[in-house]
Amino acid sequence: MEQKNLVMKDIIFLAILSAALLLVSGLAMPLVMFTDIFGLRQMASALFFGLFLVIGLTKVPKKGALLFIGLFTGVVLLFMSPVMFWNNVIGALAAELVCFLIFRGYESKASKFVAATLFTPLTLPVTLVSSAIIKNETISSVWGEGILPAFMCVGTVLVSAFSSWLGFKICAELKRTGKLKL
Amino acid sequence: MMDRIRGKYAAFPLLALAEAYIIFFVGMLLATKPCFWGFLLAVLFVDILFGYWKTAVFVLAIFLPISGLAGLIALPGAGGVKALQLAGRFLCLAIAAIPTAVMEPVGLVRVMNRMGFPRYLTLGMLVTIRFVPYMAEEMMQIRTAMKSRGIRTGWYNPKFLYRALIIPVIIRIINISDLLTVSIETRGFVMKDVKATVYQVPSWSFKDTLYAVLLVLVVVVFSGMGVWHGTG
Repeated sequence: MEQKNLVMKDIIFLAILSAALLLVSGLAMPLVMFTDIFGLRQMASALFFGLFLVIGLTKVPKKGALLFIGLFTGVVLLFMSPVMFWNNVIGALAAELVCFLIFRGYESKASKFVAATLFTPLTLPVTLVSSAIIKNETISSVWGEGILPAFMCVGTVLVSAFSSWLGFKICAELKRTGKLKL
Repeated sequence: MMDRIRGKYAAFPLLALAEAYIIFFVGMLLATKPCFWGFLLAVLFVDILFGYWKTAVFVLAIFLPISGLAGLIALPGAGGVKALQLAGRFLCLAIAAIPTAVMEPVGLVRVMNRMGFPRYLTLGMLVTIRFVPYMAEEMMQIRTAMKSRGIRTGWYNPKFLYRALIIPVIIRIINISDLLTVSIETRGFVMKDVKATVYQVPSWSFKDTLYAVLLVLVVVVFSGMGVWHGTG
C-alpha cells in the first residue's frame, strides 16, 4: 500500500532534486540579473521550475512535497538573499494550498500541472511587495510603466505552463525506462 | 574552495544568519540615504576585524565588477544617482552574505537539531546544500560524456538541455537518492524525532558576543543617521 506521509526516501529525493533545480535555473540568471523589468526573472526561472516540480510531484505525489521543494531551494538562496527564501517558501505554500483546496492532493495529473504551473507566478506578488518595502518605493513604481510588466506576468504563467507540460513529457520518457511510476 | 577563504573565526551559525538578514534589510532601507556607503564600509570593517578578510576579498572580487556592471547598465535610463544606488544594493547583498558564505552548513544543522527542529527538515536542508556542488560536478560529467559522443553541448542549446542534460540528470537524481536513502537508513537514521545525541554542536563564544555587539552598534548608529537624513 502507498504511504501517505513523506518518508526518508521522498525527503532525500526532493532535496537532491532541489539542488539540481537550483543549478539548472541558475543558468538563466546571468541573462536577467541586471534588469529592472518586473517579472522577467520569474519568467526565466519558470522555464525550469515547472519542469522539475512536475517530476518531483510525479515521483512524490504527497501533501507537503511542493512545500519541501520550496523550502529546500529557499534554504540555499537564504545564504545569498533572505528575500529569495521567502519568495520560494510563500510561493510553494500558496500553490500547495490552492491544490489542496481544489484537488485534495496530488493524485491527478491536473493537480500536478496546476501546482507546478502556479508556483512561479505566485512568487510575483511576494516579489512586488518585498521589493517595494526594501527599496522604500511604492508598489506602482516597482511595477514600472507601460504594458511590459503585465506582459511579463502573463509570460511567466505561459512559460510555467509550457515547462510543466515538458515535465510530463520527461516523466513519460522516464516511465518508459522504468525509472518512474506514473 | 570555501576552506581556502575561511578565516579562523566562524560566527555562531544563527548569528551569521541573523547578521545576513539584518545587514541586508537595513542596507536596503538606507540605500537612498547619504550614510549608506559609510554603513557598508563599517560592516566590512567589522567583518575584517573579526578575521573575515579572505572571505571579504573573495566576495568583493566577484561582486565589485557585477555591481559596477549593474550600475553602468542602469546609468542611461535611471541616471547617475539611481545607478549608484543599484550598484550599492548589489554590494550590500554581497557584504551581508560574508559570514554565511563560509558558514559550515553542518554546523547550522547541528544547532537546529539541538533546538528541536524536525529531523526531516534539517536532513533535507543538509542534503540540498551539500548536493549543489555535487550535482554541478554530475552535470559537468554528463556534459563531457555528451561532448565525447559528438553532441553540441552549448548551455543554451535547448535540444541539448532537454535530451542530453535534463533526462540524464533526473535519472542520476533518482539513482543517487535511492542509494543515499539506503546508506542513511543503514546508519540508523530515522525520521521520527526520537532522542538522539548530537555531536560537535557549535557553541556561542565571547567573540560572538563582541561581534554581535559591534554589528548592533553599527546598525543603530547608521539607522539613526538614516532617520536624521530622512527628517532633515
